[in-house]
Amino acid sequence: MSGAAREPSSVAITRRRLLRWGVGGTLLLGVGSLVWRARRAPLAEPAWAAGPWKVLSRVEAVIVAAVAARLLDPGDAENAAAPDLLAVTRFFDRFLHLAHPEVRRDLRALLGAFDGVGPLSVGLPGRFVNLPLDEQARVLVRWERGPHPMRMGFTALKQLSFMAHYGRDATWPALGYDGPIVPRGYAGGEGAWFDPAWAAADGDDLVGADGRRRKASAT
Amino acid sequence: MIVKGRSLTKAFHRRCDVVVVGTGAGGAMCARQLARAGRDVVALEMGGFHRPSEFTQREDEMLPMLFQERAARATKDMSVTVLQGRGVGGSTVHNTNLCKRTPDAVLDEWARRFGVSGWSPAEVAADFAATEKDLSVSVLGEAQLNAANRIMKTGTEALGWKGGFLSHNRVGCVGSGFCELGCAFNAKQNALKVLIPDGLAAGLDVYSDCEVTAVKVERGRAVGVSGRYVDADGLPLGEFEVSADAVVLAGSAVGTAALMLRSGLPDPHSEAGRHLHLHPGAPVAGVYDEPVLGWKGIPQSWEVMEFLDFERDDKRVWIVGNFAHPIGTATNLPGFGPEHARLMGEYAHLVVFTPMLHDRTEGRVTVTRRGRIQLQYTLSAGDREQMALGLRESARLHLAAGAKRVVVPFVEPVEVTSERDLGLITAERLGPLELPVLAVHPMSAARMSGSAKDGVVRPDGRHHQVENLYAADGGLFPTSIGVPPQISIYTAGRIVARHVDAALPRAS
Ligand SMILES: Cc1cc2nc3c(=O)[nH]c(=O)nc-3n(C[C@H](O)[C@H](O)[C@H](O)COP(=O)(O)OP(=O)(O)OC[C@H]3O[C@@H](n4cnc5c(N)ncnc54)[C@H](O)[C@@H]3O)c2cc1C
Ligand code: SF4
Repeated sequence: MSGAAREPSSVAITRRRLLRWGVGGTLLLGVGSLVWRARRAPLAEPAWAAGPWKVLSRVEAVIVAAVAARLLDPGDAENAAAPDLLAVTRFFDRFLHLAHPEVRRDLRALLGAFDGVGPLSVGLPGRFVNLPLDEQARVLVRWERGPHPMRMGFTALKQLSFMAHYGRDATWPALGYDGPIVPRGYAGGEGAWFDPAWAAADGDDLVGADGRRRKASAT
Repeated sequence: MIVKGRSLTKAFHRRCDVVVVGTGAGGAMCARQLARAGRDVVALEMGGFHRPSEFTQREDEMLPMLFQERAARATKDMSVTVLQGRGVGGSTVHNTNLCKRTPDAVLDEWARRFGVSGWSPAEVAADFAATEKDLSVSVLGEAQLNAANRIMKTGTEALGWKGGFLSHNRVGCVGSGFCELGCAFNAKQNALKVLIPDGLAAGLDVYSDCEVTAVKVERGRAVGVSGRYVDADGLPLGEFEVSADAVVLAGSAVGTAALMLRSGLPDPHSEAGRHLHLHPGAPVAGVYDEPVLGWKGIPQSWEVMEFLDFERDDKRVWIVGNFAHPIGTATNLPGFGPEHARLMGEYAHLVVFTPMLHDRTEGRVTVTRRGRIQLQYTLSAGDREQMALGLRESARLHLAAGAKRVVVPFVEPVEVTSERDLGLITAERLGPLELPVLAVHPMSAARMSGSAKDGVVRPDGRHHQVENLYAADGGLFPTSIGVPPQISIYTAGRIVARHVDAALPRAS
């Protein structure tokens, strides 16, 4: 499924959503996505934004990359690795794909709201993705330290971006972290306990590798 | 045998004596005990079956593989990250192996306040001992202190505080430091290594990748469960049913409460999902002159007991070392951009202490109409005071141990360079999302009680309303227990198994 043509989903103000996000959060998401839809300022879309994505629309991919670029900007920090924005965006897309549908919907609404309302929260016109870099940083600080619904949005964006970034080997040298000490597939610790007789019946063979019959029946 | 649901291609139905939902501390113990007692037992686990050779020591691969919600489970307001296991062995696969019994004062409180019989210190002593034997529990020593824990010990001694070596369940540990990502060296004497193989040898059948979505009840009696088998990413592939004479829920405090709610089990006092305790904790990072390389070696071997007294309400803080790999560290340090990157640049010089609360706060597990688990938990005023105390004392400990500065990762970070700065850490600052709060010990959301009015199950694990239905995990505990819970939960699995076995007829 490619989501290339889709935009962030708009947010209906339902009772259940009110319960989940609270009044402030619901208004924020609702107004944010409405503003987002009304304003649709032009957007520079790099070629990679076309995907293919499982969930993200092209526009959402650009928003993710813009947010991650600011969150993970190493600035003058010594040796710190620059973010791989494509990798971070892929991480978001996969996370959304595998998330509960309600989480997926909320996170997509957050992307739209952040892009649309983010600048307004510091009194700026336009959309987040088109702001100068220092103004983008201001928006993020506002959301980090602002009212609770903004903090929730900031926290979600920060957690996912950092998970994507610091899982990459390229980020480790700057930290002095030497990474895993076992080669992939290392099986040194296994044999002692694992009896192949218990090895799973892979597939739908419910007769154990030990040959015992099971009381399983296909329905 | 172990059947991997991810490889199944058609719906299945099984019949057995007892079906156990979840294979963590409580479930694996209960399933093994019942299999050993000669029962035909099926254990169903929503996560995968992973062997040590799959534990790659990489956070990007292990966090999604071994944790619920790809390690992104959090309370509804996102103020507490809740890490829980998913896979054969449950949270015991990636826990940090600390072993403590339920304190006597806590067991006494259960009897006094909740009419919990059969759990007095004297009555459970033999079960605790048997659990500890199963898991080869031993006390850590000087030789196993890594640099970070040695620093903690130095600080404790400099302050004259109460502290000591912890006990653990490892054999053959090489001190790689990757415990929270699963052990590639298979040194953890946990459910996956000890109990599941024991159970298999006794005839237990384990189905991985099988998520139970409903408990089936007929005329007031549990008669089995139904659910779906899923692929490696947890996406549904097909359906299954298991019929049984008894059903044991051991999906953790959160998973069991959620399954009870999803199944619409009778609950006249709306108890299921309530009273959730979490042992919330928060990181306090000390920056030291010399590189510490805190990720190397056994992560937790020393504890501070100065602020934990089970007889007192104003001393409910346990301080322990807590080191994380890069993702875990980055997501808990304050800020973003260059400021955050510079702090991460000091990673090799960081030592992290975590004050963890014996919490009085009661949260709640709920389930949305579409089956999404939600957790509510807002620190009470009393617990905020205790958290502030824990943060201050952890910072003091760093200073005493020689840290050049201490970072308390509030949204507007507090930097402590002398005792004078400790006054900056106050309970008032502890609103939601002011500080990264982490919880790895959910408990109590399907608690036991002598009375159906304030509990979901009886002290023997039996559901108050539904016959032949039991719970056997951390959800049972009527209160927070204030110590790492695995020994208590394994032991609960043992106790409940005995009651299940006694209640089932024997084939003549
Ligand atoms: C990072 C970390 C470190 C920890 N360190 C320690 C420590 O050092 N010492 C200590 O004592 N404790 C520690 N703990 C806590 C301890 O591991 C847990 O408290 C304990 O394992 C909980 O046991 P349980 O049986 O309640 O649940 P779990 O062990 O979590 O097992 C529940 C299992 O049920 C499965 N499940 C849930 N719902 C369903 C369903 N509907 N269908 C099928 N399967 C389902 C889950 O996938 C899971 O595998 C730690 C936990 C974490 C996360
Ligand atoms: S420190 Fe020991 S128990 Fe932990 S992962 Fe390494 S070898 Fe395994």
